[in-house]
Amino acid sequence: MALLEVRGLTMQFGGLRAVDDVDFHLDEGEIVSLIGPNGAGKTTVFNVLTGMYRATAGTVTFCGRPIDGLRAHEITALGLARTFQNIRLFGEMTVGDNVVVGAHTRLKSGLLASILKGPATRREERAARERAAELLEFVGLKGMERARARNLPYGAQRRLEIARALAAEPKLLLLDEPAAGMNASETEELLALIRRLKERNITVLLIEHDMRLVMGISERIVVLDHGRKIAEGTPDEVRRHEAVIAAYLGASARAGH
Amino acid sequence: MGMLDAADAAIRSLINPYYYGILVTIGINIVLALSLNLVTGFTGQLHLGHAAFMAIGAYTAGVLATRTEAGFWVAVASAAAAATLFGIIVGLPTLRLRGDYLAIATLGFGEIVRIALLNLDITGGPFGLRGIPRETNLPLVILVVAVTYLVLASLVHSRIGRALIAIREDEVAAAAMGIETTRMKVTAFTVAAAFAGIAGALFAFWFRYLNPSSFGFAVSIEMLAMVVLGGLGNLLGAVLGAAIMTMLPEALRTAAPAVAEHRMVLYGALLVVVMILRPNGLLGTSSEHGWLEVWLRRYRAAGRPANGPRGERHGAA
Repeated sequence: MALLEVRGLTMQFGGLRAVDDVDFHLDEGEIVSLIGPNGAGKTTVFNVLTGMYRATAGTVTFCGRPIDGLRAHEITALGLARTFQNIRLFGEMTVGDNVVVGAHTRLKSGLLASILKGPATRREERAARERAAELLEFVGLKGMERARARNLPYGAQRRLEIARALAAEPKLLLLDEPAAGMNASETEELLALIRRLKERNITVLLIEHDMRLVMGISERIVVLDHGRKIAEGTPDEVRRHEAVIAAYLGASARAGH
Repeated sequence: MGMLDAADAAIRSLINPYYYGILVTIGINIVLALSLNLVTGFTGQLHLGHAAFMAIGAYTAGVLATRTEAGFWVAVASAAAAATLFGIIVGLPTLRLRGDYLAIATLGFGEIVRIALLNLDITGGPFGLRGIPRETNLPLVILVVAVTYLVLASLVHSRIGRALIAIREDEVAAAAMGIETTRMKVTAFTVAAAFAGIAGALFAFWFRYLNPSSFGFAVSIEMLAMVVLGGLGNLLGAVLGAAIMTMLPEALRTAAPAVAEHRMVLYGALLVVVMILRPNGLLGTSSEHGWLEVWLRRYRAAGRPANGPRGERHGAA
């Protein structure tokens, strides 16, 4: 059974159909990329999947359960977390607190427990801190807990976003252009990081413009153009696909010359 | 109560009644500033009607004390409960609003409460409510200040507190991390309302006379000024801001009566100077961004198409 099943997904903004009748699925443990020119509707797909938009039509099934129409926090609690294309960290909070906020749905203490801080709450808090430290080490930010998030260098902020999303203990992680603005060596590290996610049994859906990264890591690629799916397949299949070359690869190749 | 009374007798033998009264007022204002700081400083929601919750607490306690046999503690608990109830009723619809709209809605609520108090019979209308016994004393106020401070300090360093700060920093990202943003904002708003209600009850049992004009828009703004002066999102700052803003008019009244008459002008000038020299307030966070800049950034972000899903939806619709 597919981990995520998207059928006939359509998102209409006034007269603009940002996503038009898109079908795709993710199997457990896969790394799949969503590519397409700017404005193809990739981020809109993410926003629908994570409950920030309500789809105009279509269904989304996650772990066998329909999730379209659920609210963002409910979807996160079910095990779907994301990062943002334009970094959206909690800038004034510490790096450690950013990650612990990511675990919000996994922690239990309510208002009274938060004020009274009994042994159970303190234990939960300590465990969350330890787990945050472990996740920071995993993304290469070991020992940075006390730094203020907004003071981190750009590449580190992107990795902190991944650590924060991982704190939500997702089964499926949506990464929205994680390599944007990164240099070659940072992108290489990111590639290794995404591969290690697979070892943690996390399925990844990636939006990315860096073709080297996409071709190097994806098991399958879904190509969008003007909101429609124009191709799907392995990196090799997609690379040779006529419509893809015309819509995207060709255009960027021409622009490059 | 016995220990508090003994402490009160000791304090009264040490300081004269004038200073005693100022200290009580400072304490009440600290509770108001601390609680407003939870909403505005920590959660980032501009709240311009905090005096209304104080009024609800004050009148609840005042009416109970004058028209029923209810004792002091029952009146204080009822004041907190009434303010809490109104906090939920007002918070649920208004906290779905953002930025300017929330400010306008809370301002409107503040005026509704003032006008209701002015026109109800049970509150004494424009003549006010008289004959409330004096039950508030300084040790009691100090106790309430300490409890408020400890509760809020514990709250902001907890799962709930982190969620509130996350909402202030980036509401879209907070929702994506699984935080129920509206529910959390209503929680902060309601906790703040409860403490404002308690402060109102202390106020009623201290001044013994209530009038709707004591709870107008200017009072809400004065509370906001205390929080901004001390530092948004800083609990000690709220204490300092409340102390300064309470003592200043008193000091002026004795030192320079002519200036005291126009003290609102001086407040304005003082706040401008503080905002220029210390944009985060006297004890604000170490960030170089001032509160004004942070708010402007948020407002601009809310209306800009490229800066987030909600913005996009708004821009495309």
